[in-house]
Amino acid sequence: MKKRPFKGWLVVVGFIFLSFLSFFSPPKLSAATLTTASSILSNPRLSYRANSSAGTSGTSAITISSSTNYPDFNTNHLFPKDNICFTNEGLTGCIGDTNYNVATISNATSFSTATPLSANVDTSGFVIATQSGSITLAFTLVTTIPAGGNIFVTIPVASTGNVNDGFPDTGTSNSTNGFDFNRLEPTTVNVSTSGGTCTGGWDTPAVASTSGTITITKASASCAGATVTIVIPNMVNPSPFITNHTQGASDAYKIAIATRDGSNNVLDSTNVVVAPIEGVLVSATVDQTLSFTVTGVTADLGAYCGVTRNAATTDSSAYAIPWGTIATANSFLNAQQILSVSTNASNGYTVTIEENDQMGLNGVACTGATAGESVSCIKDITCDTGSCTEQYGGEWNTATNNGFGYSLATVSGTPATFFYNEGGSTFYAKQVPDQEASETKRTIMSATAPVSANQVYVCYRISISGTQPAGYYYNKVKYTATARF
Amino acid sequence: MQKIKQTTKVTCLFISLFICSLVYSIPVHAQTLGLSISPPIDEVMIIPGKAITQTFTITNDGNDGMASIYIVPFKADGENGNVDLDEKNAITNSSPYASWFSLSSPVNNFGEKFYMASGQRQDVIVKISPASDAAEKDYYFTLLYELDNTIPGGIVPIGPTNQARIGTNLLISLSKDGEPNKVLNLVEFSAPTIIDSLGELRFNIKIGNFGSYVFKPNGEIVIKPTFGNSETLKIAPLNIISDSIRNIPCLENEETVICESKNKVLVGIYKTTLTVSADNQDLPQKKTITTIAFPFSLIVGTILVVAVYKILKKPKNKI
Repeated sequence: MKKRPFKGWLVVVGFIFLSFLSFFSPPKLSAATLTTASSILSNPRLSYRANSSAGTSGTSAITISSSTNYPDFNTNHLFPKDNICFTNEGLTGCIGDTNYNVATISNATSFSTATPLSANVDTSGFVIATQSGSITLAFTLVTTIPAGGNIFVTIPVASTGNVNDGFPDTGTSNSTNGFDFNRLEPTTVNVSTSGGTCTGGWDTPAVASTSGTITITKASASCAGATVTIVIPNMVNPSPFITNHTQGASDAYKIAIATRDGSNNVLDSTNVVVAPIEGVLVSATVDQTLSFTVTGVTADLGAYCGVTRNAATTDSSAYAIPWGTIATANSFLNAQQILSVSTNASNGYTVTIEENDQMGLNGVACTGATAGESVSCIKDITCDTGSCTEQYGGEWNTATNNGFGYSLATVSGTPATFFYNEGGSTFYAKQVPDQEASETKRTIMSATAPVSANQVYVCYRISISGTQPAGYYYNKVKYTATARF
Repeated sequence: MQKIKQTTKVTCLFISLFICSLVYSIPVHAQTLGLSISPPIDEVMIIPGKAITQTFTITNDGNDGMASIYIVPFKADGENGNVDLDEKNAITNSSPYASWFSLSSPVNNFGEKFYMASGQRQDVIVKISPASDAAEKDYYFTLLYELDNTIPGGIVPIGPTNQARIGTNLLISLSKDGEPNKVLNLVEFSAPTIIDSLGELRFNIKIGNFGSYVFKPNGEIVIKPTFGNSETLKIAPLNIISDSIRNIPCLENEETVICESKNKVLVGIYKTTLTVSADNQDLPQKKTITTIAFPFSLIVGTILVVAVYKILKKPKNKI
C-alpha cells in the first residue's frame, strides 16, 4: 500500500521534468537546401572597361592604358562589332550621348571605331563595352512557402560606385564587385512555377539595388513542392576584378536564394554560382557533379546474380578480383563488385566496361579475341552455347565450358543494361570487351536523368580446364563513367 | 528446481547476447574506388586564337590511389547522348590537338600520375587555346580522371585488377562572331496510325544535326483531337552534337519523360504537330501526323459481356 503513492509521485515528477525540458529545449528547426538549383546567364561575357588614354575627335584610332589598375588593360577582351561608349571618370554618361562599334583590333592597346569620334575621349575616363543579359534562377522548393512568405534573392553588387546606372561596375574581388542593376523595373522580373501546388501568383517583386536584393512575396496563397523559375532581365555583367583577374578564367559570383515565412525566417536556402568570363561568347554553367564508386564484396552471405556467397566464394576488393590459386579444374569461381553512380547531370550518365587484354600468364599478350590456354591465356567465355561475345550474351551454367566472363544484377534504380537471369537463364554471361582485340567497350549502366546511388552488382565468373598451364594470370578491367552530353 | 532456474538464466543470457550481437553488429567498411568530377559537362564557345581556362574539381571518394588526367576526342555513340571515346587519339605531345590543351594543375602533363589521398579534392586546371587558323566548327573531347591503386611498391594480385575513370564532356564550339549557323534536321516524328482507345498515344522524335555546331532543339508538340481540348507537350532541350541523330524525349517538371498524350481514353482523329527549331535560331520546322483512336477493346469487351449474358440467360432445356 505504501509503494503505490511513491511510484505515482515518481511518474508526476518525471512528467513535470520532461515538460520543463521540452519547454527549455524546443526542437530545433533547420533550414533545408533548395534542390536542383541552377543559374544561367544569358550572356556570360564580362563587361569591358578600360581607361581611354587617347582618341581625338574626327579620328577612329583609340588607345587604351596598359596599367593594371584598370579592370581591362589590353584589347584581348574586345571584339569587332562590339558596341562601345566613352565616359568620363565619374561615369556620368556616354560622351556626346554617342555609341560606337569596334571596327578592328589593331594591337594589344589600340583599336579603331567604325565611325570617327564626335568628341575627344576623356583621358581619365573609360571605354566601356557593356555586356548585359538576363539571370535565370531555378530551384525546387523543399519547405512550403506559406501565404505571406517570400523568396529572397541576393545578387552580388559592387561595394562602391553607382550599382544601378547601367555601367559595368568593378572591384578587386567578388566581395567588392558585382552586377549592375541597370535601373531594373520590378515588373520586368518574371516569376513562374511548375509542378507542386502553387496557385494565386506572386506579388510584384521589391528591388533594392543598393543591397542587391529582390524580394518576391507570395501574398495570396502558399506554394509547395514547386519548381520556381525567376528571370531577372537586363542585368549588366561586372567587368573583370582589378589586379586579381586571370584573363581567360571566369570570375565566380555567388547568388544567394532563400525562401522565408511571413516573419522573414529562412525556410530553405542555397547558393548558386554564376561565372562570367571573357573570350567566351556563350557558356552555360550548372553546378553539377558525377560520382562513381566501386566497392568489393567480402561478406559470406547474400545472393549476387543468383550465386549465394559463402566462405568459399572469392572476396573482391575495389581494386581487384583476386581469384587466388584455382585448385579445382572445371568448377566455377565467383566474385562480385558493386558499382554505384550518382549525378545531378540532367541527361544522366553511362558506365562502360573493358579489359586491356584477356588474362595472360604473367601478363603475357593474348593476341586476338580467342587466345586460349595454348598460348598461356585464359580465354574470354563463349558460354554454354559457344557463341557469346562482348555484345551478345548467353547462358553459362556448365563449368566445363571454361573461360572468364561477367553478368549484371540491379541493386537500386534500373541502371543495368542486361541481367543474369535474362530469358530464364541461371547466369547470363558476356565477355569483357578486349581492347587488345579492338572490341567495342560496352555500356553496363546507364540512366537518362539525374540519379542518386544507382547501383549494380558486376558478377565475375571464371573456370579453367585441367590442362591450363600453371602460373599467375592477370589483366586489367576498366570502368569508365561519363555524363551523357 | 534450482538447476532448472540456472539453465533458464543461462539460456536467457545467451538469447540476450545473440540479440545484442544482431542489433549492435560492428559495421564492415570495404575498400572502395570512388571518383567524382564536377562539372560533368562543359560547353564553351570560343574565338579561334583566344584562350580560356577551365577548372574541374575531382575528388577521391575511396582509398588512396594514383590518379591521372587525359583528354580524349569523342563522337556520338548511338542516339541517346552516349560518347564513343577515340582513345587512340588521346591528347599527347604529338597529337594534332596537342597545342590546344595545357594542364597547369595538379600536374603539367596529361597521363602523368599523381597521388590522391582518400577524401582529397583537387582542382584540375586546363587551358584551352584553339589555333587561330582552326576551322570554325565544333570539337568534342572528354576529360578523363583515372584512378587506381598502382602505388609504387604495390603487389599485383592474381586475376583482374580494376581501374575506374570518370569523364567530363567538353563541347567546344569555335566561332569568330558567336553566331554560328545551326542546322536542324527533323529525322523522324511518328506515332501509330491507328490505336485502341485505351492504348497510349506515344510519339517518337529523332532530330539530326548535320551541321557543324551543337544545338538544343526548342519546340513543342500540339495534339488536337476531334473532341475536347488540345494538349501541348514540351520537347526536352538536349544537346545534339554535329554529325549525330538523337532521340528526343519530352520535358515535364524539369524531368525527361516519354512523349505521350496524358488522356487515358482516346476517341476520334488526333492531328499532332511538332514545331521545333535549333536554339530558337532558324525558322521552325513543322510536321503534322494523324492518329485514329478507335474503341476496339471497348467493342470487343461489350460483345463479350453481351455474349456471356445471353449464354447465362439462355433457357435450359427441360428433360
